[in-house]
Amino acid sequence: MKVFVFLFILTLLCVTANAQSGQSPLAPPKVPAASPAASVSGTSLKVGAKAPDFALPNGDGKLVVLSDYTQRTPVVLIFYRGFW
Amino acid sequence: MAEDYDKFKQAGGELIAVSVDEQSYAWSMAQTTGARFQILSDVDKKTIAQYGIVNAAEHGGIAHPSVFILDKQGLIRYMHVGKDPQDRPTDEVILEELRKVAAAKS
Repeated sequence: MKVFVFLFILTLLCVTANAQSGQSPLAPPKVPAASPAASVSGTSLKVGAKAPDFALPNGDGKLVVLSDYTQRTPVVLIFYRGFW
Repeated sequence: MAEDYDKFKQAGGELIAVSVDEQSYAWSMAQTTGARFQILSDVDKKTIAQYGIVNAAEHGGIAHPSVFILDKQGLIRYMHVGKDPQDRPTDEVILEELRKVAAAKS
């Protein structure tokens, strides 16, 4: 009986393994949808161009609008990697 | 960066930092660094895509470390898009560029 159960589990494992590998036989790594527009360092912005406006939340969940700042003062906008 | 914030203010500008971190990270970042400037979350990466600075090769897309200095018209007066974390201008360079922008009649 034990052997039977063991074989049964083994078969089950094989089936799931096959199913998984069947999904991605040597499939290329998934590329995020956002990437085609912006590959590595492919900015189209340049000095003199208008900086795209944005509204993003800060740590308190408050939306911060870039143009609210630039209307009043020059802005140093820093993009950093984050906690990676 | 946080300790140089006063220098940025004195140079006549405001500092805004953006990453693709969750808001909670932005919050803890603000707490741990004692930052008094805005630290914003671009979780869906829309803004870094708009700026064309998505580093798709890493972690499913994070920002290339970049600096933009904008004038009061919202125009880019200085920019640097870094290839890696080491590739970024020093605070002194940024401050110098900021002073130029702040001094310019606009």
